[in-house]
Amino acid sequence: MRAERARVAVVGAGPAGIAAAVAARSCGARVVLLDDNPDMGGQIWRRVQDGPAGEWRERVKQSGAEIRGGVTVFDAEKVGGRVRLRCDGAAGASVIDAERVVLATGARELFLPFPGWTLPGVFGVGGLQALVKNGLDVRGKRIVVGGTGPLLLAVAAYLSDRGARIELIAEQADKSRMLGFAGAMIRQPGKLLQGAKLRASIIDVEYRFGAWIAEARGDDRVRQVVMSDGGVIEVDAVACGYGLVGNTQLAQVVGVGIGHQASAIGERQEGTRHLALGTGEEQTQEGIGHQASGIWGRQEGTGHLARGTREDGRKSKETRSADPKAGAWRGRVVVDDVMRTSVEGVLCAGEPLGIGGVETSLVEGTMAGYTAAGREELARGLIPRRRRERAFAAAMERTFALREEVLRLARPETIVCRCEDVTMARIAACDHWRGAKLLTRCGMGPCQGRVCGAAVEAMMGWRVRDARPPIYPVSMNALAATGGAMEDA
Amino acid sequence: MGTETREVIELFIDERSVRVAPGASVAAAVMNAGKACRASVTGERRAALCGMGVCFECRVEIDGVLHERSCMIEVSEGMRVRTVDAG
Ligand SMILES: Cc1cc2nc3c(=O)[nH]c(=O)nc-3n(C[C@H](O)[C@H](O)[C@H](O)COP(=O)(O)OP(=O)(O)OC[C@H]3O[C@@H](n4cnc5c(N)ncnc54)[C@H](O)[C@@H]3O)c2cc1C
Ligand code: FES
Repeated sequence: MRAERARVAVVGAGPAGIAAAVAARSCGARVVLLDDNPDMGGQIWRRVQDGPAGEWRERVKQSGAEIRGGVTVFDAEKVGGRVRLRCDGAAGASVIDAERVVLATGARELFLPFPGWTLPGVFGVGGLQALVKNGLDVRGKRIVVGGTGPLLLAVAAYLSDRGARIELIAEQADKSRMLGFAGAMIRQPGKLLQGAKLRASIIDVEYRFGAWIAEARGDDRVRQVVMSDGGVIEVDAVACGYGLVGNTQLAQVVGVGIGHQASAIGERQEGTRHLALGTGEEQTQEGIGHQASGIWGRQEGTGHLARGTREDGRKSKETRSADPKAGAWRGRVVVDDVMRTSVEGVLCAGEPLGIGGVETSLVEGTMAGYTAAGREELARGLIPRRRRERAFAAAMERTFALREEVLRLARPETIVCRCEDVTMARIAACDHWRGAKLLTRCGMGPCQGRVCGAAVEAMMGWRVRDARPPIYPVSMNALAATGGAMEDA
Repeated sequence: MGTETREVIELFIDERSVRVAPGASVAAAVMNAGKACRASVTGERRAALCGMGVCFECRVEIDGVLHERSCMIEVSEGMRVRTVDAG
């Protein structure tokens, strides 16, 4: 197979990838934008056509970037000064040799195993939203939404809008954690909910802090959840997610450095946190949640309201030291201040750098696009904006840090690896991830540890960073046609 | 996506005719029909979890191809889907 050449290839057509493609095109570079979904938009703009989503869709279409959906990039490798992407999809296998590659591969949800979580009808929070966007009918269904983060509220609102009956929203973080940063969420929930254009129905829904789903029960599907206080709720479906983890697999296989702490810019944010909130000039008074931006709309709103109610800097420091490892287990791609990774020609933007939300992804995508097209100075101009966005994200991450109890929900017999049906007891008997893989096959199924690996990393504190090509299962044909490496496992 | 101009798509899930809106994912169609997706290696019934191609729990057989992730594939006219619940 002849390798096709491109100046800039962007992997992932979410906000970060779209922005990267637009920026690189605006500098005249030839750009190809790839995504494994049939349609572009990434997680947040999936099926959304209006608002900022619509504007960016239009912008990238007009830009002249070549957009290819339904293409999975399963390997990336440095070959002769270029970056070779190996791809597979409905249209067959292909190879792209690019001068520069922007990895805008986004994030996935973190699932923490609990008894009954494998029952049909137990979904991720974002997962259920994605399924409903793609046609799943939830009218009249009784749903408990649990886990952590602003996604809970956003998805509950969305589901309610689609006719579901939200029985409860259970946020594992304690109320006290929300003070300062997101105190407004508690003090003025009505205002937030109103701003988010929620229907009257959801305003009656209980948003309970320091609560979590301890167990799901059912037969052929989920029928009940048992809450952390022992209360039992009858349900038709459960949406449960504990935040997001960046997709760093492609970065790993091309040899990019992955860190565990927030990047340098993230550290600097510590000192400027409240300053950053205080200067967020883009935060509007009214539009707390424009439909299209979903959760970010609410995050903006939270930040905006929080400015009025936040505690002083000293308090925020305390909050942080109370939980020094908040999110530190998450691996993140390390970049310089214009989005270059440690591998020449490979840039990265958005969620793989640490969960940041749509505004962060847009800024970083734009910066990566400029740098990839050789216009680093334009990227530099955006550094202050990026710093502000990342400061907000870092504060968010601390607010929704995971509590010990939710990391201990799995019982010995609870399945942790859903591909290979490996129980908690078998994993806990091992010393590290590598050993667990060899002894139990956990993480060896088709999801390649995307679900259980992240869970084990969070629960056990093991370092799980062993992505290998192909990062998705592909046919022998695709491997052979693209000259890809075979997995030796 | 959604290249079809028709208002509904008819597909067959475990030999039963099902009608859904164009653009729906196969996973949505399967679950709307009250079905689960696959059997796990120890025989548990499983259905979609992540909705975004990550978890592989939504695998079904589509037009004779095994182990397709139904959340990543749109329905198409006359498609034949086989789930864990096929009799
Ligand atoms: C399930 C889910 C739901 C979410 N819902 C919201 C929400 O409602 N509101 C909100 O503000 N935020 C939401 N988020 C957070 C969201 O990640 C960000 O707000 C925003 O979408 C990040 O943009 P991004 O471009 O960095 O990543 P994404 O939007 O995740 O885009 C990355 C894209 O890259 C594709 N991709 C990844 N790897 C490959 C590969 N190897 N080959 C080809 N394509 C690849 C992915 O399929 C995806 O389309 C959600 C996240 C998840 C995981
Ligand atoms: S539901 Fe997870 S891959 Fe389809």
